[in-house]
Amino acid sequence: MKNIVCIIWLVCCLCITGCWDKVELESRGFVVSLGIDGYEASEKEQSEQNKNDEQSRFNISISLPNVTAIASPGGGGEENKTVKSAVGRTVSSAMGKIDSLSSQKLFYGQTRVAVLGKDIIEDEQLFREAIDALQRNPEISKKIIILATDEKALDILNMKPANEPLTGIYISNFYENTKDTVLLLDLEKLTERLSYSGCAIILRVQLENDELKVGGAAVVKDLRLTGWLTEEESRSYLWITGKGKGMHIPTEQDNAYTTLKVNGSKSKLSFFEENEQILCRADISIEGNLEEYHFLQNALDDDKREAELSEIEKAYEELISKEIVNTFNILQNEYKADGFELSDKIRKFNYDIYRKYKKDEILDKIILEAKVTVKIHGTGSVM
Amino acid sequence: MLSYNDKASLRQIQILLVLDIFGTGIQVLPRRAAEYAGQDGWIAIIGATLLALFCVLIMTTLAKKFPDDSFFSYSSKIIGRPIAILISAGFVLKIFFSLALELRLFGEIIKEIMLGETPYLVVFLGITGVAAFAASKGFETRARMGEILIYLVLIPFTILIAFGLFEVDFTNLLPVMTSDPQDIARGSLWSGISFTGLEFVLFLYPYSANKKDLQKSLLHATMLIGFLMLFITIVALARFGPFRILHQMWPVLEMLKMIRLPGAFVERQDAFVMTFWIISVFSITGAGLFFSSLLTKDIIGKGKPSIYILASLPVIYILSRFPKDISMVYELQGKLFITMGIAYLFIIPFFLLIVANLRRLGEKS
Amino acid sequence: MNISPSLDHNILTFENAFTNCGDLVKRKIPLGANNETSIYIAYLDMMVDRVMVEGSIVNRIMLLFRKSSLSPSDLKENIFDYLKNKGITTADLQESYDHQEVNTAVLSGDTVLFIDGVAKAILISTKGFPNRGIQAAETEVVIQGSKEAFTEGFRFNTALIRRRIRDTNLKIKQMKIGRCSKTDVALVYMDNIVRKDILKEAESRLNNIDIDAILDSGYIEQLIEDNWLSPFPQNQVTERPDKAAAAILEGRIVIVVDNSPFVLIIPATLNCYYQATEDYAQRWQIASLIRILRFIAGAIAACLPGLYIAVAVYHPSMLPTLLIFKMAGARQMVPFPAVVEILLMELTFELLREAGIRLPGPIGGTLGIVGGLIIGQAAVEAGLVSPIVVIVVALTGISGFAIPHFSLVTGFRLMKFFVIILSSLLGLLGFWLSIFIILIHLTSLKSFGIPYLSPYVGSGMNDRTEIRDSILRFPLFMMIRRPFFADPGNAQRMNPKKTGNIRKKE
Repeated sequence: MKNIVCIIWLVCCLCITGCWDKVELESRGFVVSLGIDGYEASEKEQSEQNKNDEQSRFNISISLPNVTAIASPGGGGEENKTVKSAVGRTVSSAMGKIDSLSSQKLFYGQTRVAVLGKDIIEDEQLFREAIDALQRNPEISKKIIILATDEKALDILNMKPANEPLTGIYISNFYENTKDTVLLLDLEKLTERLSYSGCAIILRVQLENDELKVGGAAVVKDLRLTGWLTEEESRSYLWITGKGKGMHIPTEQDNAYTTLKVNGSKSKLSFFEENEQILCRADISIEGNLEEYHFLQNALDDDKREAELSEIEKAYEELISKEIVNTFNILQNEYKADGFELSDKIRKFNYDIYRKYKKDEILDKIILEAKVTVKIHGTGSVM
Repeated sequence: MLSYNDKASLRQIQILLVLDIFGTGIQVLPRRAAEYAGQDGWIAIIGATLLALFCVLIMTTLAKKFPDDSFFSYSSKIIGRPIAILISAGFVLKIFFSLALELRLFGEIIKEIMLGETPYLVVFLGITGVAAFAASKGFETRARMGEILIYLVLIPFTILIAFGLFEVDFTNLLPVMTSDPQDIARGSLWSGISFTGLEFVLFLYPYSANKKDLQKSLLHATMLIGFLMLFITIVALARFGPFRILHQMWPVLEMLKMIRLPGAFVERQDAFVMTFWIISVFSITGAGLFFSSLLTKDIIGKGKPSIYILASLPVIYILSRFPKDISMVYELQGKLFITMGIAYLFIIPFFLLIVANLRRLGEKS
Repeated sequence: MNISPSLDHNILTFENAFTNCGDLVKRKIPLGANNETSIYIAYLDMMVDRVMVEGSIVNRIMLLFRKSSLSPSDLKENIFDYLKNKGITTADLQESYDHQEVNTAVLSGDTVLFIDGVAKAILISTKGFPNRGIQAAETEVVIQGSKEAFTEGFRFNTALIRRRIRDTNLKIKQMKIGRCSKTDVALVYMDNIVRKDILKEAESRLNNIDIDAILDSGYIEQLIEDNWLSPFPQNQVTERPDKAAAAILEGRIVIVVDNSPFVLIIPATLNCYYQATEDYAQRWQIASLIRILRFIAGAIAACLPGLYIAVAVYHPSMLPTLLIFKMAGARQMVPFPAVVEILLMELTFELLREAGIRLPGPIGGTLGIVGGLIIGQAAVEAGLVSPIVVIVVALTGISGFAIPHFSLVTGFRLMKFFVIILSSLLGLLGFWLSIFIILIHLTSLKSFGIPYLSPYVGSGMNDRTEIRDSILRFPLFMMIRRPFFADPGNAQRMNPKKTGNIRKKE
């Protein structure tokens, strides 16, 4: 009996030599944003690389917070992050190389944002590898936000927004506040769309006058970039999916500029078959408040109020439905991408129609008709 | 004395059954169901539940005839000692195999999500050591633990799923009923793998304080398990859609990880949802060790069950190291189910029941 | 050894046993007109009520014999009965044939009377040793409720209980335990409510004790408990008579021990330690809320440091981003790993707590918490620990104080270290494994046959009314049945229809 106890004790002691996974907080490097760029070696480096037989294709950059500065009462100022980058043949090997550049053990559990540089989204192979690396890594959450840029991701990460703690946190907080007015896309949704139809719309981030600007989108078809949408065009996507709350839409009517602030929107899509074409009718109803008119001119007095408002409403309806159809045509003809995910909806709601056509053909057969109803509920504090 | 003397109340037995089966079964169930039946996978679950209810009915009818006998003793009464030894030994092997596979899965996922560097042996020893401790204390202790643990499992689970429902797109389940009925049937059969642990019903009669109503309670419990599985499968299918779910290793875990909790208190609940799986694996390992040690004691005839529990640990460890990687584990689980699983869930109890009826053995109810 | 008829022989034996006992007061008194017989009276100084001895015994005897009109020969034959029936004017009188018994009685404060020619001795109960008097309870403080506390006097304590339960079913079964101390120990219970098997078990355990001395009820507590290895207490200890009376009415047994102001209540379950008397004096909503708070406090006291280590060191992805950055930033210059920090601070707190108990008066209590925080602050400024650790440890300590019974807190304090060790080995997995081990231990523990974790785990027991007095406290009129400690045949304790004006609406 005593011997058994001794043996058990020994085993326990062996186990206690461990704590294999313990990494103290201060020795962790928390990666907040991740940037993926392509890499073209310069002449000199190429010759060197040929010797080593390893060709770097990716340039990964990460942004690490400066925790001491953050923990101090000021909350950090200018120097509250460091950006490191490294090149490597694959995404994961580059990530491994960055590890060697920092004394801390890199931890991707708190990563919020991944920015894909221009080279990545333009090249199908690199794009595939990048998305795969992001997806497979168990530390990286599937809820990180994916952004596309037509510059280098490294520049985006290097940007220091004034008075904001960290770029990564800045961007994700940005999204939290404007959830309904921009195309929120996280890794999970991106991989879903890509695996289903090979095309997706990725939100775009740009540097403008040293400030980050988020808006517009990149259209990706068959895993490569086919074009960019402007902000107005990407708005149509929001209408189709029933989002858009909080947007401000200006328009012109009778030489007067008005702005509508959207309070809510609903969208209903129905599909009919007609002459070998699929007719898609989008019923979009938007309600909002009028935010701007002209001061003391054409004030909406009682008699004419109804009429004035319905004219404004009609102007908006025309504007928006034109926008939607326009965007769809661009997507359909120029980019040949099913950005609105219509084929998916046909599969779910009208399976009989879906069955008749091959997956690739469906997009071409769709004719979109948008019927928009705008209702102006309020006009602010004055009449 | 108030102690039930190793007897548990009906509710405790029901709780134990749910705890044993639900947690481990649900992990890959949505993926398996979708593999065969696409977005109609949830209908396959209904089929699987019906099959499970049928098996429970047969098993309880058999065990009801011998309310105070252990499995070994009543099977030797029915078909004689040598064959009973064979059947029981096979049962013990089956329990070892399924525990080994389950623990291997558990070890893999712990290494991936929670503890990357810790050796597998340590994780294995940790969880089986504690489960062995629980099993050695007797059925009553397990029953009481179950009562506490079920709340630890269900309450966070319910809260998470409740929040998850906001992000779910039920249109992913459409179009309904467009899959081949044969596929659905096959999906029902293979979904039965998730009901591992149901065969312990054969052992439960001696431990119940109220034998009269045990059959009904067990059927209710099985229905509850089926309902929970159905619900979770629907939510998982709706969340991922029938295509993406096929790529997920552990769909339920992924789904729980991705749910966004309001308020800023817990940012990513990865490790937190592992709690639910840790408790489930602990529960089924405890059950497996307990019942297999009873069987071994009956076969060999002497010795205390605790010795057999300790002795089975190295065996299960070696078995769990056998598969090369996770996909092999799933394959083996499937094979194990088709051969020994169905045998012990249905074929052998049915056979024993018929022989018992023919020989007019056992109590009439 | 039997008492002999010869007085001198008796005196010799008696005084032999009491050699070198300076507090023995003895006198040989000749009686009768011609000093035919004598009696010998002895007692221990300050153990007896002197007034009574001098007044009711010696005085009376002397007077009696002076006025006696009996003849000397008559006297000699019937002296014993004469003395006993006419001489001694107290109600508490015993005869004895044995020297051992006489010695024990004198040592307990009785007066002994030997009579020449009679092979018996008279023992007169004259106990009157100095006593502390009834004071306020020190360890269990209440806001609303009786402030009386038990004292060291055995009879006082039993009297305090008697006052609250005026029923002939209240039995006080006495026995003497301890070879040298021969301490009076009593089992106090309600005969018609208690479970007979628990009573029998308790009696047999007490009878099995063979020890030199029982100096305190704590000795008995440890000698009759079910599982000596467990860090959790299995007998409840209280200083307050109202709590003891309430326990007796639930069907439990109270063990009163002489010289100890703490009585034992058996059997005890985990739930008993969470109940405080003022729960019943306050409104049910706030009482329920406070009960829930106590549970959370218990969980925090055992789990919080371990959880902190598991999350901060192994799984920092769980906490909000900015919190993690603040924590990591604060830890930049700290030399020790997180586990060492926690252990250091915990040990410091434990030391402070112990020191606080030894210091007199108000200093003691304050020292515990405030001192801990100040030292913690100093350590943070010196850069030895990070501020979050101080908060975690302080919170753990404070939660420990929120539990009504300090004996349960010791269990949690020990468990806390166990959880810390396992969490630091295996992260969250280790944390859960340690919780499982603790739970397995708790669920397999029994106190006199009652599972320790009842009522949380006995589903369906006692018609499902158990919940009414555990995690929540239901209004008084709903607590109709006695808890499971009581004999199931006698479980109804309140007639709801006739209790109070609750249901009547004007």
